[in-house]
Amino acid sequence: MKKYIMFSALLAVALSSSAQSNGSMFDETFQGMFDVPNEPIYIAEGVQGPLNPAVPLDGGLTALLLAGGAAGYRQYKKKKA
Amino acid sequence: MNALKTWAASNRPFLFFIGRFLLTFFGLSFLYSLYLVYTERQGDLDLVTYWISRGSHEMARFLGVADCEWSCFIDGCYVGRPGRMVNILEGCNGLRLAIVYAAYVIGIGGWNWRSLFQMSVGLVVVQIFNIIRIGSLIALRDFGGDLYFYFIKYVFGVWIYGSIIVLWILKPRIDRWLGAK
Repeated sequence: MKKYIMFSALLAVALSSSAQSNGSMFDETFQGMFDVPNEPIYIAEGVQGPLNPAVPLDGGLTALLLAGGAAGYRQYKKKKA
Repeated sequence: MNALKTWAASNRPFLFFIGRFLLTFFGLSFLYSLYLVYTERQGDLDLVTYWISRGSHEMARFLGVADCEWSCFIDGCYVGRPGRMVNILEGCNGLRLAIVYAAYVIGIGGWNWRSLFQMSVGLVVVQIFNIIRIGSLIALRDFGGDLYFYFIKYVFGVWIYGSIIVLWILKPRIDRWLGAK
């Protein structure tokens, strides 16, 4: 019986001490979480582009083909007139 | 339907032009695609992109980009000062635009020595314009600021497409100069 009482007492002490340390850990973790910082807040300006951007060209290929057709039509009209 | 037939009958030369123009464009594009497949299988970069990036590197140095570096890999070349490089890919080399120019010249004049001469000179002229474009972009990127994005989006698009349209407009004069009827 004595053994059980001693074990229970030890368990109670251990639990109470762990609860205290948990409480302090909790406080340390969230301490100052909602405080307003003294330094100015960094706001990113714009979006950073790729490091080595490509210099592509072929976006207007279809437009150029159509322009070629139109230029040819104009030339044939001129010849006809 | 009858109106379309009448229009086709009265514009037969124009229809022949369109046929030659499109056939030449698709034919030359096909040959170029075959070449790209070949170089990819060899594990090489295509020679057009290689020489355009080389020329752009020289152009950028001429425009005052000190310590300008140039390195090529299978997928393209990097030119410029470290940290401020531009990536020259196959789509940047301007050859497809030169093919459109050549297709127009063949479409108008047919396959003869005058057309082939104009086609060859035109290819070189378009590539010179492209080298100036990319060299200037490297210099602008080195210079910094937003000017680079403005130029790549608007100014150089007009520059390179404009060069082709000006060559098309000048074609009748070049034909006369070469002694065509």
